[in-house]
Amino acid sequence: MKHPPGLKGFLLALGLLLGLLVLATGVALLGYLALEAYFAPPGWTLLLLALLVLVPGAILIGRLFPWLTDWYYFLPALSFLLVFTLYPIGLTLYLAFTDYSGAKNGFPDRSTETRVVKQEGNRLTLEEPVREALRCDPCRGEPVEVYAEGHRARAKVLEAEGSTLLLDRALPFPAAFVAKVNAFRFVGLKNFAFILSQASQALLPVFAWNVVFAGATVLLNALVGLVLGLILNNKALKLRNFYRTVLIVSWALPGVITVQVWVALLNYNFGAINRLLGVLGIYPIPWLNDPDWAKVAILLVNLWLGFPYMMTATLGALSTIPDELYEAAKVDGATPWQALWGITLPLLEKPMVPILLSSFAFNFNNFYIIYLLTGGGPAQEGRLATAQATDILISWAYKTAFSAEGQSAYGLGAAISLLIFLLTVAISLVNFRVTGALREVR
Amino acid sequence: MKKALAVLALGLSLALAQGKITVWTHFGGPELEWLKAQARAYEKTSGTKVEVVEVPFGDIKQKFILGAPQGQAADLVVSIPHDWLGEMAQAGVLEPMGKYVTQSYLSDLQGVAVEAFTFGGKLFGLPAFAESVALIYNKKYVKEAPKTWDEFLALARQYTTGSTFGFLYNIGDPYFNFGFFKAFGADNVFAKDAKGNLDPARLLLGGEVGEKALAFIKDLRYRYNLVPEGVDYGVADGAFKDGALAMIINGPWALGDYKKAKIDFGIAPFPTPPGAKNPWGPFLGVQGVVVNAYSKNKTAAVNFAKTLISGKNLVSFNQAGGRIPVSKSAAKTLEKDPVVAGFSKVFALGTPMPNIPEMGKVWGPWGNAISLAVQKPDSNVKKIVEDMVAEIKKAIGK
Repeated sequence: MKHPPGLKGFLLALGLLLGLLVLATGVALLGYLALEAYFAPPGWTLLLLALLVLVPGAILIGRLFPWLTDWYYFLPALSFLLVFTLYPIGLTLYLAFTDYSGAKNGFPDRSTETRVVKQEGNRLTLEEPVREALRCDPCRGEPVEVYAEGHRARAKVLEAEGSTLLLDRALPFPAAFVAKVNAFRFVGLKNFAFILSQASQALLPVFAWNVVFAGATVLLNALVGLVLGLILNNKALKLRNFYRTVLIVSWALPGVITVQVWVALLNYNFGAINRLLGVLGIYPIPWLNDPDWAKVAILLVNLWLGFPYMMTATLGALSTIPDELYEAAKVDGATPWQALWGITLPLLEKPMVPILLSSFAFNFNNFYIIYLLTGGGPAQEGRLATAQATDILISWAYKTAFSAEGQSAYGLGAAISLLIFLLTVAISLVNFRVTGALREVR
Repeated sequence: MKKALAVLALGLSLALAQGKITVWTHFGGPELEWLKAQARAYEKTSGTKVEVVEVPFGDIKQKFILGAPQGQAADLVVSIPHDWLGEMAQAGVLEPMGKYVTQSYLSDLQGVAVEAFTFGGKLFGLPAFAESVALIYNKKYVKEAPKTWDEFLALARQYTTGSTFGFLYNIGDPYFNFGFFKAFGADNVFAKDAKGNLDPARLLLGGEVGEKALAFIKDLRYRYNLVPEGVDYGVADGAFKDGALAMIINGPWALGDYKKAKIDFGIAPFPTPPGAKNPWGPFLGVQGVVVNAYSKNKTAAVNFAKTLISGKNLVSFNQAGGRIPVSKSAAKTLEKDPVVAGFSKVFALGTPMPNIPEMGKVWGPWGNAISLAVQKPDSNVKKIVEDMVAEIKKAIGK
């Protein structure tokens, strides 16, 4: 059988390989769990079991579809893709519809740990009244974990009466303790409803600033990069390699460090910049303390960090424009200004547009400059503590998932990331459509 | 050769039998040295290997909660502040300690500290040392601690000059500001229910209390002109270390650096702010040692924790870093120490920081409100407090 042509063949091959990998993982997991009932198998058993399925499976499929064997070189890359890209995406998608958080993490709540004094089949007698010990009301249907040295098992409460507890299954070992499980539940669209109910305090202003931030950064950086690139491209300029090296320094230094230096430089009373302005007789500017000035500060620091990239890109693009064009223009009597508008800029457009688009996409989720420079602050009236004056969507999601809202609200954070994903896709589609960047590729 | 192999095998099996425990710590400098010395001593007496790993303070809670069930967290942590306790216990990663310790062991520890490490009626850690903020003054400028607000203000104004500062502190951080909320009437962040447990539905920071406290904090910047814009922890701490600051609100963790900088300092409570009905009183924080519920070597971990939290070792710990132990016998030995004596007076005014998980939902909006209040001279304190209370209530869901 020959390789099926085009997209169909590609998808078929990919589907077969991914199916094989998923099958091998699934069988290995089931086998591992089955073995666990008898003894504690070491972690690498999983890998061994997976290989036991994968290798014969690969040979078998290779017999059925002989053309597929060339694709086996993809297997290592595909397994990485599965583990580090597809699995986290799937998990995020799943968590966005649950109330998973630090306190509702599916693990037993040890503060409800209670000693089991008597055990008859699936009826346990606890040291204290169930309702108070396990802090559940009603206790019916509540998941619990029962454990003893070396054993643990999950069960559901069927009935709780005084200090006796009726479980939905009998335990294969003598129980020592029982604790309530902090189960997380499927909540449907509740996370999204929560985000939208606070849209005017978080989602909308943060989204607006996010677009302004990414757009203004790209425009500013491109403009400065373009001007500097044009100047440095002038062969009559002396020492131009020296200038180029100096101008690239801010790009070469690690941003994680330089941004924090900027925080110190921009301090209202103690920063070098306001002191310098003071010498010039200008009132100190609340760079990081005022909601509007903080936005300006972010754009300026990001310009400082980002223009060398645009400058280098411009220089690279300029070197592809043949000199003959300029010579011909000169012969025709065009001024340098006309040559710039008539030759340079139109020819720069094509190589620069994809760079500008990717730069926009990058800055749209440029977490670290926001996090390091202002931490999303300063505070702004009428906004949530997680969505302050300079927070962009991704820093808002980070704060929600990992710092504020308490107890690490992963479910909510996942829902926000999902919204960001949808917004970014929408913006990218509009971008591509407007600029026709995709048409060039075809 | 065979004999050598046999000995090797025996050695290996012994090492495996006695195992190894991992300790996470956020200590640094001399305190880290102290912990490492304790670990070596414990290795010698018990034969269990102890590995000390440094983890940044801010990462510990998150890493521990996520890593413990996967077997990727330390067997014990030295140390966590007690306000993380509820969250970590509820996440199921802390081993209840009640079954390992005797009443006589606990009786050497101060009651407040044991209570701070109790959540839902169970002991989840062994308290080691207490901390709170206090007014720390440089004796070069301030001969005697100010007892009233007027004395304080006069001193602070006297030294607020072009080159020195009278009074600075980390004004944006609620932890450093709770004392003012307490002075204006908030006994705690939440009110207690009939059983004496904190009730997350009853927030005490709002209303008139919050407005008055925020107005006072705002006045520190715009009316008394003491704490200018741009002051954060680093600026205030640095100025005190440089000897350019007369008074600061800070805690015991900073004292090692002040000693190193050869600052002659004193410790006192902050005077009662003008118009407040109660005395100022800080958050009392207790730090302690906790054991991983998923540890494979709990007995060794608990035994090491108990060795650390003993009167004798806490005295040597105090000598290493200057922290104030909660062990009664250690406190007795250290009676004459000016830092221990100074902070003991401040602790008496303090309120233990809430250890229920809902506290995690308060810090963000609370800090936001304080930052807003001190952002500009005409900030609307009433509106800020209302927004803060609304956001906290919505997050807690009650």
